[in-house]
Amino acid sequence: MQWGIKMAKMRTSNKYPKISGILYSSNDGPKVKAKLFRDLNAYELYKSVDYLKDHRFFRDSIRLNKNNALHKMYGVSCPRSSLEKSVYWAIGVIEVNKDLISAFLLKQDRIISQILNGDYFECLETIDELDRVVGISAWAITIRGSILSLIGDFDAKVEYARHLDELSGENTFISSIAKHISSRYVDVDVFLPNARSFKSQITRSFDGALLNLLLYKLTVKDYLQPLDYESIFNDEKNTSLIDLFECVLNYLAFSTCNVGHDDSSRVFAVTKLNKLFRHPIISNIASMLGLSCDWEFMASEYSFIDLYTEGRYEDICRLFEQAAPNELLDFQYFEIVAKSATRVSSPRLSGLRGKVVGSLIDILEKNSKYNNSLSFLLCLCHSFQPLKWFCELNLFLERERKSLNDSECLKIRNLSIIYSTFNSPRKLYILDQTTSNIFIEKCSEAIPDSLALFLFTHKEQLHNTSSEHLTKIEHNRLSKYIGKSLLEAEEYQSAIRILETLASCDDTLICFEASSMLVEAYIKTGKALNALIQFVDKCLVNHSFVYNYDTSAICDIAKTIAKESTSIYVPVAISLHSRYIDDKYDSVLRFSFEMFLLNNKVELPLDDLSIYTNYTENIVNYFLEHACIPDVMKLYFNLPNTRAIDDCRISICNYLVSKNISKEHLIQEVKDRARKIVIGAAYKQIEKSRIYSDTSIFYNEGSRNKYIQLFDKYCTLASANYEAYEDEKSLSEIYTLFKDKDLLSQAHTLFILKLPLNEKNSTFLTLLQRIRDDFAYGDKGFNYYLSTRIRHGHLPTTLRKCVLDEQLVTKKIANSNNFKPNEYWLGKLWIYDDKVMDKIHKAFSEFTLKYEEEIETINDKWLQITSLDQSIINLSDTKSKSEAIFDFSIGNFESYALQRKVPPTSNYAECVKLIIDWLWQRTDISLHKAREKLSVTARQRLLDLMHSLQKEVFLLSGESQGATDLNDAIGRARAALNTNLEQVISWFTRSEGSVVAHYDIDIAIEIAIRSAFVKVGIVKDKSYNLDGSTLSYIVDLLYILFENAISKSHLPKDFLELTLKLSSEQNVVKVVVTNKCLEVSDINIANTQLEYYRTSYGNTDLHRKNIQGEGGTGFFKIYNILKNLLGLEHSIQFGYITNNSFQVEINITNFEKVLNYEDINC
Amino acid sequence: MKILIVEDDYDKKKIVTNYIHEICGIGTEITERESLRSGLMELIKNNDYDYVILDMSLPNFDINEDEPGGGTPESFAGREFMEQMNLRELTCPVIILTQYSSFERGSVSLEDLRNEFSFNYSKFYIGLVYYNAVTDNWKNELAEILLSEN
Repeated sequence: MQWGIKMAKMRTSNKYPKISGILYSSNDGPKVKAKLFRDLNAYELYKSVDYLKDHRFFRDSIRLNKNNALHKMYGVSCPRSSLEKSVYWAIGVIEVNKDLISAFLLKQDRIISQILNGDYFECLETIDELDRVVGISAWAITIRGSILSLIGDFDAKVEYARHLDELSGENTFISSIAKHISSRYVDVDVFLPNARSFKSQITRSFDGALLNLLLYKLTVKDYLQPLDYESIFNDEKNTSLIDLFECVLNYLAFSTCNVGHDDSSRVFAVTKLNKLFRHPIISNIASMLGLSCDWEFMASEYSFIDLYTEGRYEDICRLFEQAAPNELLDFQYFEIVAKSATRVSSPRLSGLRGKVVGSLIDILEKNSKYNNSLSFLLCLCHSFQPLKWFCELNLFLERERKSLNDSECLKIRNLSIIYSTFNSPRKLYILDQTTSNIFIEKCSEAIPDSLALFLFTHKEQLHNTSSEHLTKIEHNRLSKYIGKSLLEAEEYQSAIRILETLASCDDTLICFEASSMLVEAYIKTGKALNALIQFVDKCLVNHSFVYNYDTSAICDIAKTIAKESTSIYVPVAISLHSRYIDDKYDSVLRFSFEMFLLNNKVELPLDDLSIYTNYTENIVNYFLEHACIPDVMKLYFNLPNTRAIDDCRISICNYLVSKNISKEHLIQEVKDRARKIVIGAAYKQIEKSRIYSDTSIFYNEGSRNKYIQLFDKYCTLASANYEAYEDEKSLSEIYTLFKDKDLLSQAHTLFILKLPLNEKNSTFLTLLQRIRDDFAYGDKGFNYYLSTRIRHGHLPTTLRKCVLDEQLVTKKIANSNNFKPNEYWLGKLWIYDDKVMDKIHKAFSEFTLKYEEEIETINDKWLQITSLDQSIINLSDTKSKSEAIFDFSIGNFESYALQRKVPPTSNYAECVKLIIDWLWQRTDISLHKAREKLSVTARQRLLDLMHSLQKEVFLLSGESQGATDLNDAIGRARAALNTNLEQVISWFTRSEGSVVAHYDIDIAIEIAIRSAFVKVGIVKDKSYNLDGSTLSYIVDLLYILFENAISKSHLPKDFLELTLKLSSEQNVVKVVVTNKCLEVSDINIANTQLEYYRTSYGNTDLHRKNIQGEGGTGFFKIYNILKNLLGLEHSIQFGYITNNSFQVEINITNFEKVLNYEDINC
Repeated sequence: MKILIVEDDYDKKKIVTNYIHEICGIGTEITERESLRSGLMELIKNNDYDYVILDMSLPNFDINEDEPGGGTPESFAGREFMEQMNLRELTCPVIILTQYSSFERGSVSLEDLRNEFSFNYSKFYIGLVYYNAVTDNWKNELAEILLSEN
């Protein structure tokens, strides 16, 4: 079967058995479509379109949304296929609808003119007409939405959004796309940050085909970003005729400027389209491919270009000023006018034209309005992205705002030529030799004396050319052309001589271009340092000049001299790239920073200022401010840790501030860094204060009496002689034995059974036990801190975080021992076998169960205190405490050994000190054991659980993307567990006391937030500066409040809306914590159920019992912290304030007690 | 033989160390470092290692009580490590052993990294092995590189 027969014949007889066969293969539309796209080759698909255009299954896919059915857009209509098939199909569809496309192109030209002339309402009417004729499109939605925003018609915008919502129906995807594309024009000030954030959000959240589509459809166009057009076509062929046509044009332009694209599809598309439409992209690519030599050379265009080439800038501005509204609308005119206007006074223009030209001048000059103007023009480009004129503007901005390397430069230049309507000599850049010759011949015939054409055809020999043509050219321009010609002829020394002069001329644009070429010439001749000096000196005058240079080439040359160089220009040049272009040379910057210091024989940047004497103050200040930053210094071995890096940076900031450099910004940086250091120290203080027991109670007058009485009794007894007593004899003998063998430190390991103690020994043991009990279990004792600062949420939360972050644990079903399915991983690992899926579900449930059991074991069994003394050891049920690590049990021998250490002359204080030292020694033994068990046993058990899960799932699901993702997730969880476990281990060291003299309450809040891993909204009437000794207690208090909100709300953390309000009125400081919670059916009943905690609050007996434990103990601990540890008088109210929110309010009447004395008047 | 392992994962480090002893002999001298900085510093001080086995994602500093999280974590610490080796003209053979199948949310594959490293660090980069604790594939690949080099 040959395809080249006429359509009339095709319809009259069944000449398409293949298509007929497919059409009759099923009565199911999608199946038939799938078969058609599968069974036909690309060309057959193209040919089939005309045949199928009225077929019930294909009509909609070919007529493409003619009926304004927005809700059908992006619905699956045409099956996915290869790029080639999609392109051929699209060309078939465009051919069938060629009249509509022609109408669209005419209207598009009118729309551009209307926008540039500010005829916005007429423009909206044109778009309405377009919708009526061709059907609704994303293209038209974008333009209409942008115009409504541009004219500030908010009501119309809202009405339009509502209309789009209605048209979208149930199709939420198109509704969302329509919302975004119709809202592209935003406030210029926020445009760039918004656009960046939106793009990174999309990149982070999506991948694959959807990511491609969203990048194509919604984000600011980046001509250098590769896009997968196969995937884009698969979506766009299910949109509208206009959108499909635009997709073809975008693809043609993209594929022409990117290597590796299927040439046959492009040639086919251009050949077909060039016969149907006059469009610059199509005709330019056709010329480029040698398919067409049909150029129209306009005398008006050439006279404009020649005027500019001669340097007659005023004439250009005048002509543009005098042009009628429908004249000189091509982007090239705007570019030439703006370039001219940088040399002479700007033309007087009104409306959008005037704003655009003004902004182009700012960008070309890189003046103080550069950023605003760039943002404005980029916003316009994004808003009117579908219009060719704005694509050309966008490409111009790409050249001006980015430091492009050679290949990127070439790509952008070629794209600009492809989009351009001007048949200027610039076209020669994209034509092959044969086509170029035809172009020159035809152009010479049409415009015989064109200066631009002469320069273009002689550009490589210009320096050896003497022609009358050249005498017309303005002096600086001519020098630039000759310099460029010498550079292209590789006559670098001659080029350098000309360019060195030109790089300091008054003509801003020529100066920029000459400087850039000069850097290139220096690089080519191996004059690395000269290149860096030229680049840096220019850029330090105005940092935006960076975009005039190929900074990658500059960094590459800097890299070659970094190891040996003592010049500050090396790190400064690379830093300019890192700050303004990208992070590609960050490693080299780190290295060059280090080598600059080492080669100059200094350790730190401010060690010896004489190393800077040969440089201007400007460059030294730049180096210190922008190159000596923590990210650059982080690998430098003379700065051993982050604290040293921060200290170094602070000293640099202070030095610069003293010289009035970037004062405001650097003072803020110093504050931020100092705050970070204080937080670090405070955090460390908190971490190091978890293991503590307040021993001051043994010395304070009020609390020591009970021990003194016992001590006095012991002293009286000890004055008598007990040598004849059996116990004394035995204990003394063993003591001598232990002492001789240097085993006294092991005294706690020996219990001597059936040895009744005499009164003296018995009294000492009792004294010891009393002190031990208060040391271990007192209100400010060891167990209180262990419970509040480790067991109460901290440890479980920290160990759980790594598996929660990777969603490896699943939730329990309420009131059941079963687990909910882990939808995240079950979705990723899905296979078509229910039994296997059930086993995977069980593996995750089992993992959760065992992981929680391990945490429970550590928290509730290991990290407990045991103090089973000899007298009760046989009575006790030891099961519950058998694994307790903190052992404060006292035996008769240990008591005796300690007694022997107390000199007969010692007073109460000396004796207590000895006992407390001994208690801390016992604690240290337990702490060592705790660190060991956590580091080895706990780590191994938790890692083993992860390993088992990984192995089990891998065996069940086999090698799959899901299993690979799980492997990655477990890898991350393992790394995080190791870090978190190290953090937990670091808690088990003895407190070193207060290192922070005073602190802002924000620091305590931040540490509590970090510990609870929760977001908290903070409202504060003023700052509160507190005494350093209170830091740990305030953190404890806040942590308990936050943790209670998390654990009692029964809501995920993200839904908690936790807020903390701090205010003071008439010397009463009010702390209010509010959070959302799972809705209670009856607020009164729910509040009544809390009555126990209200009545128990402050009850000494209950309080003692509860502060040592976990679970339902939060309010008891709050009381203990406020009343006993901080000595704060207060009242508390708590309860449900609505059915789904809970509040705790604490009013403190003597808050000044904890304030830093300097802040006492707050 | 002297090998430097730069790896912050306790479990992985232990398994890899055992395996190297298994295939290269118990006499193999293995030095362990746990961060980008400490690894690099070790190599600058002692540039006589026969191999460096390098993780891709490492903390900047060794984890200790002053640097509880090891400073900023670096997803491409392996790349930075090799870039610094390149700049400092250190040429000890490097094998990357990573337990991640891709980076940057899947946009950088292991194959991309292999190509990049072969191109940029051909003087010392000798291979990238994907470590998966539940299979032994990584062992074969690592052995193949280590043993073929000897």
